[in-house]
Amino acid sequence: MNNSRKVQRRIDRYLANVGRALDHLELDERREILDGLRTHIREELAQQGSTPSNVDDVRTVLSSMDSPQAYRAETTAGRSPQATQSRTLGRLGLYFFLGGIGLAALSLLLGALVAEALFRRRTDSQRRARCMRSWSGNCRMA
Amino acid sequence: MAGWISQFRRGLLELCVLNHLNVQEDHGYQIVQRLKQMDGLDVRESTVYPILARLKTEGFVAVHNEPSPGGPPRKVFRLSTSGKARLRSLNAYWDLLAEAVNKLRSDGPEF
Repeated sequence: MNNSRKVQRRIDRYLANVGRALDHLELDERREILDGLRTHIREELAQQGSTPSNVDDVRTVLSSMDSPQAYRAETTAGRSPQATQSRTLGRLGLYFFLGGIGLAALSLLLGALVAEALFRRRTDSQRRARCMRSWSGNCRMA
Repeated sequence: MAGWISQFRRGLLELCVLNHLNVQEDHGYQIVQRLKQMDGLDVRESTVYPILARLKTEGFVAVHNEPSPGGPPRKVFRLSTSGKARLRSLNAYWDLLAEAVNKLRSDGPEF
């Protein structure tokens, strides 16, 4: 693996860890923080006069930055536990709602298929019965 | 004491970010560097970027992209109209608090 890929992997791993620590935030807010951090790391490397492929400089910059847990602590401290909890419950409610709609649509589809099969079977047997009553030997079934 | 200072600092930092953006629009890195120069605020990336993201979510700051030499565009933050209104009320509240605390201090004995 070349240097620039190693550098990118280190940065991505740090940002992924911060992202996981911020999983209680809305996606837009989390993305905004991660975008800011990505630019911050780039600016710090530029300030050091580092080429993007210098792994040691990236390690130094990342070790001088806050841990993912620090971001979690900062973003949960000002918010009530109820707010975080209600957001989680709201998300769960949405999943159940969408799941319910999916199940209802599936049930309707299955019902329609079964009804169609029953109707076709009944029509066929009626036609067969009419055919037998007519005594004509050349009755053609569809 | 440490918990109280941490909560107080967090609120104060939002006021400082808004006041900085009232002077000039700026991108995140420069805001962090500017506030780091102020003693007592103990500014870290983990405090400023979440504040900027929240202010954007709440509509108090607006963001536009600016070309960056040798990299992808940088996000530049500026105060929105509602951000200016929020800053006015926060500054007024800060003046009120500072005056009240200073008055109480001046009534007490010198340490």
